[in-house]
Amino acid sequence: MIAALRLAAAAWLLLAAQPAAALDPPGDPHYRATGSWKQPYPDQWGMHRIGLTADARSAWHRLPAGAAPVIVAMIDTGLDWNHLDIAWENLWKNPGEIPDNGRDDDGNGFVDDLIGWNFYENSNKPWDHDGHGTFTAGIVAATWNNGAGIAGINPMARIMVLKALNSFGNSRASFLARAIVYAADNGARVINLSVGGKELSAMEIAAVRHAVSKNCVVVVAAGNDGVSVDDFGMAGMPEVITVGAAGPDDKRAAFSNYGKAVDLLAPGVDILSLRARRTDTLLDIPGGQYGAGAAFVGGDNRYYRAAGTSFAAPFVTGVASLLISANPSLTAAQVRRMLTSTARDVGAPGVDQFSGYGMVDAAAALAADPTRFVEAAIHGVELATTARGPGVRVLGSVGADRLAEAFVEIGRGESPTQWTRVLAGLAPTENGELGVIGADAFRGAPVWTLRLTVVGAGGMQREARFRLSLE
Amino acid sequence: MWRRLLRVTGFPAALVAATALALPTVASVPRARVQDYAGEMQLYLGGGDNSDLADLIARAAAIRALAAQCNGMDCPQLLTCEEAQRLEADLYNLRALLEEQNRWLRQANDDAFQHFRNLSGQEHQTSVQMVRAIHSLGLQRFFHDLSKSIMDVTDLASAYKTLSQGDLAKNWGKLVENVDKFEKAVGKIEKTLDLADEGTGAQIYGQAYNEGWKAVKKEGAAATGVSPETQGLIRDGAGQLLKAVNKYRDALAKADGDRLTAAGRAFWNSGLKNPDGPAKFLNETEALRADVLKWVQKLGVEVSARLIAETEAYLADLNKNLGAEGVARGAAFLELQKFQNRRFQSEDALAAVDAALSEFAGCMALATCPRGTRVPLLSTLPDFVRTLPDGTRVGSWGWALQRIHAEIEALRAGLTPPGVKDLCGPKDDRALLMLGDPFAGQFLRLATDGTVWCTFRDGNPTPAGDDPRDGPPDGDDPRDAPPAGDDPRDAAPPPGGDDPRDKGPCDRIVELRIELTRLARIRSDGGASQAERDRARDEMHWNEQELLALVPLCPRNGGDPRDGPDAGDDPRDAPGPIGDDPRDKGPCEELAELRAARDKLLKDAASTALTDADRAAARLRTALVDSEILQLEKRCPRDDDPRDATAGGGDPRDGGGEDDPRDRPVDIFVKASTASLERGAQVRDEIAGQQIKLFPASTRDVALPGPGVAKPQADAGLGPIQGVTDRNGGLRLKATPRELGLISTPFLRVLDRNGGAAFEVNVDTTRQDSKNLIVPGASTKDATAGLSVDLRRYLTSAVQIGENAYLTFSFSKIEEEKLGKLLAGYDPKLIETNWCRTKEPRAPQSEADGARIPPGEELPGARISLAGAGR
Repeated sequence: MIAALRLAAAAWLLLAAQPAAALDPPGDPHYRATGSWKQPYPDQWGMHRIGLTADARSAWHRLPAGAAPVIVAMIDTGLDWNHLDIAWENLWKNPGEIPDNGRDDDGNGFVDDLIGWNFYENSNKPWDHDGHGTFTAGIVAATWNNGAGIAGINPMARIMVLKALNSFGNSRASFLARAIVYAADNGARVINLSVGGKELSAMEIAAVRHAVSKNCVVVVAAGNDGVSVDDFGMAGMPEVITVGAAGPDDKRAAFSNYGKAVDLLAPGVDILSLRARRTDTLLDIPGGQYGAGAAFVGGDNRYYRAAGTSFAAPFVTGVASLLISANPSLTAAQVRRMLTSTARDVGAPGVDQFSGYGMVDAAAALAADPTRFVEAAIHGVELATTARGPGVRVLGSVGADRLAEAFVEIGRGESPTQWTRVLAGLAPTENGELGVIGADAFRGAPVWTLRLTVVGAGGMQREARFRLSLE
Repeated sequence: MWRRLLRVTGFPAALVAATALALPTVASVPRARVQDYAGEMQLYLGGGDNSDLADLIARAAAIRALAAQCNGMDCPQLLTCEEAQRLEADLYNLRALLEEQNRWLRQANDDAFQHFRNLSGQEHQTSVQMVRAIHSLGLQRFFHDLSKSIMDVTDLASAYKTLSQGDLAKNWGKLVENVDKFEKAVGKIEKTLDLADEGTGAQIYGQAYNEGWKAVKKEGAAATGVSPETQGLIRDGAGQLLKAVNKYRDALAKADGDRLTAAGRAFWNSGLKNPDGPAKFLNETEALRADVLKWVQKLGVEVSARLIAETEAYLADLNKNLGAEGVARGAAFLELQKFQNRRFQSEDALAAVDAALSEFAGCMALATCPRGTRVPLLSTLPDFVRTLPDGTRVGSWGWALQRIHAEIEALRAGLTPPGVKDLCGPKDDRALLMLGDPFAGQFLRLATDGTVWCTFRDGNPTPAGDDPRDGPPDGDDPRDAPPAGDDPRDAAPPPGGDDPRDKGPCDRIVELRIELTRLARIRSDGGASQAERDRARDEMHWNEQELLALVPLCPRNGGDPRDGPDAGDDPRDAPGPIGDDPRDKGPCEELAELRAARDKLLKDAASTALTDADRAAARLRTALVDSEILQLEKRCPRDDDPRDATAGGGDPRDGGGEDDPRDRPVDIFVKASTASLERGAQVRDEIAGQQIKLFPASTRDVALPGPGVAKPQADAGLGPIQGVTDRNGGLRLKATPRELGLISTPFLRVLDRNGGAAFEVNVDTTRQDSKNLIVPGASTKDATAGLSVDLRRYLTSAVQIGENAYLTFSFSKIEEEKLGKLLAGYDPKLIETNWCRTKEPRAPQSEADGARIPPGEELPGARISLAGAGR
């Protein structure tokens, strides 16, 4: 008996000591191909760009064997579930519902909601007549290794199909709010909202906060208006992860909204995904020069190219779901922190209002220790009067699981080459005063850049910058 | 009024005790029942005339007439299918509401009848009390008078005896006077007894005297306390006294002439000493006095005058109440009549609506309008159970009728016959599936944006006053010109490959039939609750509609070479719903038989008093026969079809293969409806740039996925059938009937008549808006329950988020002011715009698009003036 226990313990120790079993990258044709429409980059360049590569460094290799399925709610125009690249296995199956018995078996208020719900027509068939929802779902969960088409980010994702946009991709806040509540109440861990709109309703705020309270990661597209997204619809809410779009050159797409609310960038230009049967989602985009069928890809027209923050958001959604698949016990806050703290800094150094924390990086995020974090943010400045005269009070956040050092420097102009440390020894602060810089420090130039640097005990560091114009 | 009547003066307890006569009390009236009725009437607030129901009947009759006309057409087209669906749903809901109303009216009628009976009973009881009081009064007076007279006689007898034994001469005068009194007293007794015996009393109490005496005789001591011996004495004594009086009178007469003579004195003496003479009676009368005194005491003669006064007052009260009760009873009778009349009228309305619905359902099937998706209204109504102050829970007909009436009223106004025309009639431009007229093809689903969701896109404004319809009236309607533009899909090849519809419909038909059988059982199951039966009825309705729509897609053996399931696999190989399988005969023979069978079914359904379940079954049978007829029409050569005698040209359905009309692309012209154009310049702006989609058959009602479920890929490579309206609201789309699922007879006939030409669809340009109402701390149930009926009609969703309920109202922009008034009672801070939302895609390589900001400004920043700070 004791020997048997020792044997079992030894086996467990042996397993525990082994590196996580790798998940081999998919072999789907478009994932492996380049130039299918004569472009100089891989067909699914976005996957490769965020670390979901086909080589040994692939983020997928970091996914442990036995990674858990994770429910991802796609609140969109529905899904063409008959698409060859959508497998039954990748759909959420409501465990409490008996199909087609005409009853609300699980008592959630929806009858026969097997894979989700169609809030638009109030039915259990969230079919996609527009194509937008199928496209976003394909980025997250297109079937792997079926010999055709593309691969999704997370083969463990289980798509909860919530049709809350109509057959043209339009909706109202109430439909989205109801879908968010449905997702949160029915087990979704990640909610994708590739939806925009300027004003914000109390109903949406309540729905998002309800979802966050249920440990859901809510990912929202920043929008394609090329304007500041601060205080701009759900994308402006601090509770969500707001995602802007970048092209293959890692630059923010010009159409992608910007602002302090933007958290991450993700691939959002020339993205390849699934085309829902008999749809062409770009046909009704106002002002575009798009010709019908121009974005169809492949001999069978089952695939499609498009751009937009709508398609950047699912990349973050997919990576978030990978993190939860790898470690289902992660909280939504931890997922958010892992995504932002590991983002690859692009554009202006540090956190900026074009790229937020930077381009999402699946490999880095999966490698991150959820307990480790370093945070740096300058939220604003204000005029201050001290005993030594006027100055500039710097407001922001400093945080780290083990803080080693935090300081503020200033430099002349918008891209300083030399920095002067003006505040040092900063303590952890959450959206508070970091210190006051005397007015004398700003002599000699009309524009200054402030740089906050936070260093963790392990050397991990993050910086945030802020532009100060003097009048 | 009735409550006041309940305060009927009680019969004086003292009197009851004194007379020992049992009298009724109002305590026996079922008061609680009467109180329920009053409460219900207060809730009901109804009772007006029945003009609303008469109007409803008239409207239903008009729809039925229209539908009958439609059913007589070869190729009816309803304008529009959306309107038809709404009307069908309204009729369906009205039928359910009327059934419910009739159920509650029956209960109200029962209660009104009970109320009337109660009031009648009350009145009857008062009458009984009155009669008994009268009897009591009569008895009291009888015994009072009788006993008083006897007492008088005994007193006189004693007095006479004393007088006669004294100095006769000295007492003579008193003796004479006494004899006169004696005579009167005895006469009074005699009269009282005569009245009682002969029953000749003409006055109100005569009968009571009579009955009183009878009661005395019949019930004796038990009723009156007068012993039979005493009674005998009264009667005999009275007679003897009378004789004695006569003798005295004679003696006096003689004595008067020979006053105080010896003879006279002797006579008196002899008379007094005569053992049978007056002395005897005097003695006996004196002896009687003791009995009479006891009797009088027992009857309470000492207070009899007061008792009689009380009884008279009581009688007056009763009389007054009786009058009021009569009035109340009359009012209750009128109420009862009203309920009865309303119930009869409501039942007529139900029959009219039911008939209209049956007829209209046939019309919709013939016009190939798809089923509607409205939620049955009845399921949203409460159970109408209220709790009485004593905790009793009762079904409240007052509440139910008031609410149901409001629901019916809300639907009644919109109950108008839709437009219908026969597309197989003489060909002219307007007889086509016209642009501007809405098209309503089987399974053709058209989607436009802007009706439910958000605002219209910018662009393509039409100058005010530039009404495109103002052109020449000779057909030069700019809407008639096909919109320009190259649609890459115009050259799209017809779809090939597997037809995804080959499997689904037949399987679904089998499921639906099984489900309908199950639901019918529930409906007729006495053990099922009313709610379960109602649900079953609702489900049956929609299942019937679905079945009706699916049957044409599951053709008979040999009917459609594309489909051809094995004989054994065809679920319809089971005996049909009308008995013998008509498919054993030739198609034309079957067609004739089926048409006859359908006529009979309709006739039977209309003429026989059927239960709900029977009616539902009849509708189902009719629908199924209709679908069979549609199928057979394809197989019966037109030459053999007597109805086609006047039709020209070949039947396109007879063709097949390469020339199959189902695979010939046809143009579908979308045009703004005339109504839209007539709404003015603003709307004309809105009709331009409208997104239009037609949903191919392969994307409609797609089966949910599952392990092993087939994933048909037939037309997966084809593009959408989609476009944007031009400045006049026009758009040309191209598609084959097969890919649209438009393979039914009427559509193909239209194709034939029009040479595969144009079809029209309507663009609904009604701009929509939406508001959210936050109800803090409320459940959605409570929040919605508090809405007025008017406001509830705009409610499109309700959701609970945290502690609050969020209600969403959707409405047409033209109703914005009305909704504003309906929401006026709510805190404006709790009302918000239900903002528009949209997807966020761009063309694949859109880097050049969008706004840019100066370099460097990607950093968050601020502008600050240090000069403003004091040093």
